[in-house]
Amino acid sequence: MVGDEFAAVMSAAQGGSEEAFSALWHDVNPALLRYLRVIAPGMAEDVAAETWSHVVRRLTSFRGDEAAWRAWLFTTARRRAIDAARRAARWAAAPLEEMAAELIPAAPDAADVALENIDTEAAIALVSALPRLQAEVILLRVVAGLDTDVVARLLGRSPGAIRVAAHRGLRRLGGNVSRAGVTL
Amino acid sequence: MPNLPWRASGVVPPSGDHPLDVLLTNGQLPPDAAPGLEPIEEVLAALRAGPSASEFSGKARAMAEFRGTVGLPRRPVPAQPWSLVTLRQRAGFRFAAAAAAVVAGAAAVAYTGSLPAPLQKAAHIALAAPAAHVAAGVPDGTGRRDHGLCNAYPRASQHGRGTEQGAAFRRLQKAVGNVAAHCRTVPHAGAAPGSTGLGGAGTSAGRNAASQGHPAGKSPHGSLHQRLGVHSGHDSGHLPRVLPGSVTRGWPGPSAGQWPGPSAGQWPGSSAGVAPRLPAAHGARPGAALALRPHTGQAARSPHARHRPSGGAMKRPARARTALSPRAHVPSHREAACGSAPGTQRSSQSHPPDLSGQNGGC
Repeated sequence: MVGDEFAAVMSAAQGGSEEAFSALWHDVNPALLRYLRVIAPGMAEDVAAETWSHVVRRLTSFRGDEAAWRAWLFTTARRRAIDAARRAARWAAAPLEEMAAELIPAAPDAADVALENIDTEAAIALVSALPRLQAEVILLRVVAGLDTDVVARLLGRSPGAIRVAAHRGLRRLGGNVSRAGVTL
Repeated sequence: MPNLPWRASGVVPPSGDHPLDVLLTNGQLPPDAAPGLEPIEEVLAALRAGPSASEFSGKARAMAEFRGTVGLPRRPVPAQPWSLVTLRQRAGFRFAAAAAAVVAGAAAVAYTGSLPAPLQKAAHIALAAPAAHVAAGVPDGTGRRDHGLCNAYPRASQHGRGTEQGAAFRRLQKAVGNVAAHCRTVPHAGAAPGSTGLGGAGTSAGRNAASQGHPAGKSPHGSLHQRLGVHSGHDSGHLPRVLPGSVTRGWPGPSAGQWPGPSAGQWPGSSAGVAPRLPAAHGARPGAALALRPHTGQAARSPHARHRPSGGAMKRPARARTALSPRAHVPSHREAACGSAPGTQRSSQSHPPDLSGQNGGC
């Protein structure tokens, strides 16, 4: 999060300052990749590049605070991920064993999760094991830092449904961690 | 490691949603949260952990996209100092462009035939633009179309229907300038080569020819008909016979060949057999009808003109008879002395009797 300097940084970036844009990029891109690794496994970096390309083209027309900036960014990323998934669905006709290893969505190995400290990759793996809606809600709430109302608008659900999905996802997430024998 | 029952079963004890909401919002469980939510907190903490090196791959691509779209504008190129040569070249280019535009516009106007006659002629020579008379729709100068207008122009002018009112005459005037001068140069249709053009009645040539009494074709200035713009009887007959100085206003007169010729006692335009009442001539009895002479091929007289009715209804005013009229009788010396000529009738009014007896030998 940029914090109180967001307005100045954004204004400078819209004016063409590469340093300001770099700051914005550094602040959001890791969260963006973590979100895309869950909703678009195997295509996270390409979808992230398309997202930034779209955002840069419309950067000068953006108006809002940091919350709006993140909401706009993750909304764009979600739409790009959906487009990429549709393209992959049209193109992908190869058998599963012929696919590259990095393209196969793999469930996290529970043993690995149990033996190792939970790190970011493990956490992403655990969240990926959740149902799609619960995983998105948790990622958007936790990783993107968006509130319930924004997430509701982004996903096209009611705020109550988003809250329920979040709670259920967290409990399931806790249970997956417990069954894995996570050592604290 | 403590043996927590929930950890063995993997079931998270039910708890209110409040701690989860706080966990989602703050990333930390409230102090009064029920136990068993710590794993969740850990997972969430891992999701919020700092970036790794692999998560910055793609920055170069994003920065390149940014530079190409929103990047800072390039430094403005310093303007070259103005030089006298540059100013002259620019002024020359602008002048040349303006002149080319003017010439192109004039050429376009010339091709539409809208230029004045002298300019149109020049454009016709230089640019192969349509000639003035052709472009303006007026006769082509060969005389055929001008001939009709030139024939009609004198009469129209005298009756007030010249260039002031006639559209054709205005076009001709616009094309050639001076209609009268132009008509002099227009060859008469079928005229012999070398003959002068049509003259209008009222022109000096026409008047001189008329006053000198030169018959048609014998005038040193050319044919009288040509000069006067009058057709001969065998011609199309569209124009009346108009003798110079004898044109009476208000009555164009019948066209030659169109006058059927009144038979005795008939007047065209009126009911047969009824002669119109004409203004009484001097000395005529009021109300007397005028008997017309039989048609002899001569043009009928104007009803406004005086005529001599036959039958002696109007007496000739007394005047001295002089030997001027070609028909006037020239008395011989003896007749003059004796007062009469053998075989001639003497009017008592013209030759008063000689009572003095001075003339002897009669």
